[in-house]
Amino acid sequence: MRSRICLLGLLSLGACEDASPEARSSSLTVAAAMGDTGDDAAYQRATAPPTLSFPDDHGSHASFRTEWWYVTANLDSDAGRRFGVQLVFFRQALSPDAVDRDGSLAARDLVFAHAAVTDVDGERFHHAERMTRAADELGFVAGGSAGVPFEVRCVDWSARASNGAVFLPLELRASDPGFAIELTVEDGKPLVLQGDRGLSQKSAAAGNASIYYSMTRLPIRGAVVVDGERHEVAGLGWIDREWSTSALGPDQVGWDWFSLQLDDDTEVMWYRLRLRDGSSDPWSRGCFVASNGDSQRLLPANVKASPIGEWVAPDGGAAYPARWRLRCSDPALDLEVTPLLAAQELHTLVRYWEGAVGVQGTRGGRPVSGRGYLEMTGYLR
Amino acid sequence: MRLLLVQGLRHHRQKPLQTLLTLLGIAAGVALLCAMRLSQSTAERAFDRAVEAVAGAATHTVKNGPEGMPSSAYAVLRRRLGGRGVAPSMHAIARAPGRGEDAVLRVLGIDPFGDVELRPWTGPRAGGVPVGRLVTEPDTFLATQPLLTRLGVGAGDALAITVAGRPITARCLGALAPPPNVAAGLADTLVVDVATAQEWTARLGRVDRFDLQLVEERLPGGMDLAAAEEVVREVCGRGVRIERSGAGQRGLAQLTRGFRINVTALSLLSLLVGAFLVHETMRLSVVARRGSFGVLRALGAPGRRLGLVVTLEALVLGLLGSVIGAALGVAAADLLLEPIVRTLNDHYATFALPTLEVDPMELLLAAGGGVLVTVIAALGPAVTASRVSPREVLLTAPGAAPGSQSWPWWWALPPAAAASALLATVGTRLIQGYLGMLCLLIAAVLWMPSLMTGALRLLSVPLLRLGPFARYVARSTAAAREHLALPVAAMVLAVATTIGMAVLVTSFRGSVDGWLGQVLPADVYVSVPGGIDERSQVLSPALVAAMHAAPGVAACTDYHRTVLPVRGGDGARRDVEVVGMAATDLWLGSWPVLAGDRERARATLAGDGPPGVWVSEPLAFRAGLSVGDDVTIGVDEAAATLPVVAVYRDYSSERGEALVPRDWLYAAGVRTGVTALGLELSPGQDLDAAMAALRARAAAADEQSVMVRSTRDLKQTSLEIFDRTFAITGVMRLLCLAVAFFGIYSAFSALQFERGAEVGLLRCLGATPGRVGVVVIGQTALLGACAALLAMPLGVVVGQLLAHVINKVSFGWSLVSVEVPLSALAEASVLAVVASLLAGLWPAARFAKMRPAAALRDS
Repeated sequence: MRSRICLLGLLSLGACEDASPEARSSSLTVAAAMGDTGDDAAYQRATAPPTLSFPDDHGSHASFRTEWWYVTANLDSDAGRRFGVQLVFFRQALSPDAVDRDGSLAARDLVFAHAAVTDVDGERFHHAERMTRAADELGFVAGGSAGVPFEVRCVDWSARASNGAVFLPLELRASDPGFAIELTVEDGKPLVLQGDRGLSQKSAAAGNASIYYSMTRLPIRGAVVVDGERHEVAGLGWIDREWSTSALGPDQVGWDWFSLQLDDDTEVMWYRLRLRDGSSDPWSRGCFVASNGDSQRLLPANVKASPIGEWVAPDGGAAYPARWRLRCSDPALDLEVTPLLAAQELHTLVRYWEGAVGVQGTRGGRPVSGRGYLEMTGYLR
Repeated sequence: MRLLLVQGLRHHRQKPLQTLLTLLGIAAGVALLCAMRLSQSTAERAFDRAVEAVAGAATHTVKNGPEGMPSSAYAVLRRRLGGRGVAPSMHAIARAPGRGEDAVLRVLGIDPFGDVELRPWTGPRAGGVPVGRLVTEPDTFLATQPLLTRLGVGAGDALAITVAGRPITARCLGALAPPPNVAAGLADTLVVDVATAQEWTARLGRVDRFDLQLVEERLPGGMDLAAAEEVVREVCGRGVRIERSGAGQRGLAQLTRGFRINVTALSLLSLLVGAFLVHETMRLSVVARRGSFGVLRALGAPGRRLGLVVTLEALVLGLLGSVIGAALGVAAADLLLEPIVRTLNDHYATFALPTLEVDPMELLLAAGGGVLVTVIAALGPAVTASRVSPREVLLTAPGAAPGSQSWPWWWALPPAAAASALLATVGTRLIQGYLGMLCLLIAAVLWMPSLMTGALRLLSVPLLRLGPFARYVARSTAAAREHLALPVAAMVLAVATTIGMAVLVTSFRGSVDGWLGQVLPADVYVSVPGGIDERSQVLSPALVAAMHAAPGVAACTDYHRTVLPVRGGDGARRDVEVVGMAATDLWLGSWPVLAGDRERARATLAGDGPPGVWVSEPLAFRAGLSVGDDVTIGVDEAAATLPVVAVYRDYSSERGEALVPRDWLYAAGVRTGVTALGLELSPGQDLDAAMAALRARAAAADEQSVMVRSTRDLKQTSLEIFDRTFAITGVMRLLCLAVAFFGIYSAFSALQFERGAEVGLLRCLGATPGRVGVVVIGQTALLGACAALLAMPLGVVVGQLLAHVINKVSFGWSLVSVEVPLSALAEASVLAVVASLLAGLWPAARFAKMRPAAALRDS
């Protein structure tokens, strides 16, 4: 569930009322920062399990307010150096109505993107942000439907289907002074519909839901460049696709989201929605993907995620759990999730923590380890 | 010392009128200087702030004249320059009819998502800015709260405006809250999305500028600034201008340099006249107290101290006068601000009336100048006071005439030589021109005693035949000429200055009038309404076609105006207005060609001969061009070289202008359109009816509102602008006249009081009080006439210099002929004589009441 950044914004304005003005302004999130972008009712809302058809649904769903293409990966270089990579593209509608105007730069959507490279052994975390109106060649989402190759572009960054394909293999390109990402995501394990056949309900109110599917184990290869040095890398990626108009309820202040790839060829996804009083929301959900690709929904009744310790950002502006213990009764999981680098906080228009993690623990009593990604939001002080 | 000061104070109290006049003289000079500098600097700062606010944190700005650049370059530029620090902007002028004085507004089109680094106050980081609606909803704008208040609109309200003649109902989304320095620069700006600006200006696929924040560390892999600039040229076109912020900014101050120097120089001139006043007052005060100075010297007071006291008195006068002047100046600046801004709007750039900013530094400079000039002017009298010899004074009668104030005529030679040298080599250096003029004036002052002898002799001729008293008037004045030289010189200078300004304005106006007749040969002109920086607004093609095909239109001249870089022989790039012409025979025959073979030039522009360029006189002057020279238009690959085939007279732009054949312009790849039409009506039509028909036709052809104006109307408007521009000169001339009047009055009335003994003698010899009065008034009137007589030729010379040297150097304009306005001569003479007559009245009345015995005993 990656409703995070965009949707956090909608609630954080209310949630941060007692925070200092600085904290509030830095927590201004993308959606809130756009001001009024129309009533929820004017957009399409996720109210029933969708009928998805691929490859069409890899493309844009313009009738919804918010949509993203989320790629995270854990990679190793030929020389054994470890890297984490995050590259995410967002489409955010600025108006529910189609924009029919003459100006060549007129736009209805905003496209923005976040990219991060964690150089685990170099103990460096690089990240950057791009933002543009969806006009001209500046930013757009194209294709995804039959025959037309998928491409999402945000200024100089892009994710696009490579030669002849419609979606996968997907070529990722992003760079900024300090780092560059040149990766190809190959086809892997079949995609998994999250929630109720793809409808991911986030709170009690009807329509506070998203359409959500994941590709949990995809081989990735290519190169990352950090500090001018190029590393040929290979590893495992994870793609999340989600679109919605509204999702969270007013009491939900943030979340902790895990996507873990275990070395027994299984994957675990869990998002813990946090309430204003710090407790877990009963609408927290997850899923376990078996090695054969079968998926199993995880519910709060049998999952417990507990923070261990605290990592305070160097400027003191936010404090995040330093590690996690994730326990599940069915399937039987007891995992300790540890960031590969403590400082993986992004200072984009929104401030949040997202980074590569290592996993140690047991599944069904047998030792298991793995890698994954963790996102934590709503921890601004 | 205290005794001396008390005595000085008493002297000034006894002569309050003279002291008051002196104070007023200094105050007037300082006030004028203050007012001009404050109003000018307020206008400049308002303009520059607007430029800064618009440019944001950009390090470079890419421009391509009115043509702009394709909007598709935006994506490519951002992609190739590392994704950040690139933002487009659109610029236009909007008019809000019915919104009072503040009808002129700027429109700034921005991309809030590209401006995250450049103009953070517009973007999503600003907080509270309804970015989403600004981008998606057409015709929406934001503005600072003070502007919204001024316009009387709030969030959700509509505002009727026109942009490039098109009516638009703009909708206010709310207030912007940028940092204070930016807010000040946005005082008259509607901030809109770049796409909205494209739509308002009907430049759908274009952007005017790219603002870049080029920081080497942020550029993609290994790219340095030079490489980044190369990318910009590759993407945006070879001809674009890349300006570095700060260095390349063409602030208003730079644009209006000539205007400012002229105004300052004229203000200084009035201060100079004030200085003569101070000199006269202090000299007379020393003369009047010579006796007491002698006594004090005899009692042991050192001479140096006497000099110091006189200087201190001047300092006090200067301080008082300067403080009064500064206060008056602030008040006057507020009044002058509107005409100044209007003048700048007429000639340089369009912007709204700012509120006056009082820069304490400017006040201090002007007041300091006033004090300094006063003290310098008092130095002579101070030296005289310090040199008073006790013995000599005690032996002679009190109040007796001081020593000679005269000097040999050849003292005038060195400044005259300097003036010739400076003026002969003036080139394009305006300040040198003014220095030359100053030297000439100094030479004239130094030559004054000799000239006065001649002038008095001439004026005495009729008097000598009118009987003994008339003869006495003539001879006594001639005898006193040596110590009259300086006050007369001051008066001559003041009167000559007013004549000179009148000569300039009259000649200039006459030249412009004649020129307008030549450059407006058609009957009706059609253009987009707007200010000086909107001259390149394109008429809609539908409208142009409708005008061409209008019944009753016999022929049509199309003007395709744009701005292009032009390089002359000196290789320097000048961005000037280039007009692609498709001209009629009437136009070609009428245009004021100054140099070049008219037939060949005509063929060139008509497209019959090899291509060539006509350059305006200011451009030829600044770029050192003459017929036959080559001119490069455009930049690098897009540039083409053309020979100059004609130099023509043009008073419309001091930066210069060039005319090229329309077809050549378009073949060179320039994108513009018809910016104005000159329609020649077929004979026998009623002008008013034809214009009404044309207006109706224009309205039917396109919603763009255009101005359809008759030549007569256009000429009248142009001359109104001219008169407005020189209204300030008129005000200054009046002030100069006022200062001159005070000067003459105070100097001459004081002079007469010195001559008490002489008058006593006259009374003893049998002159009636009435006769004595006539003699006194006659003497001052004679001096006034003498000053007027001398001022006339000097004034004409000053006028010639202003017209031919200063004007040419400031603006590159030569005048058709120099006209000497007889009215100005008459005015100046009447002023001089009337002031002198008035100056004689009071002493005459005093002398008439004087007891002859007492007067005689004093002598």
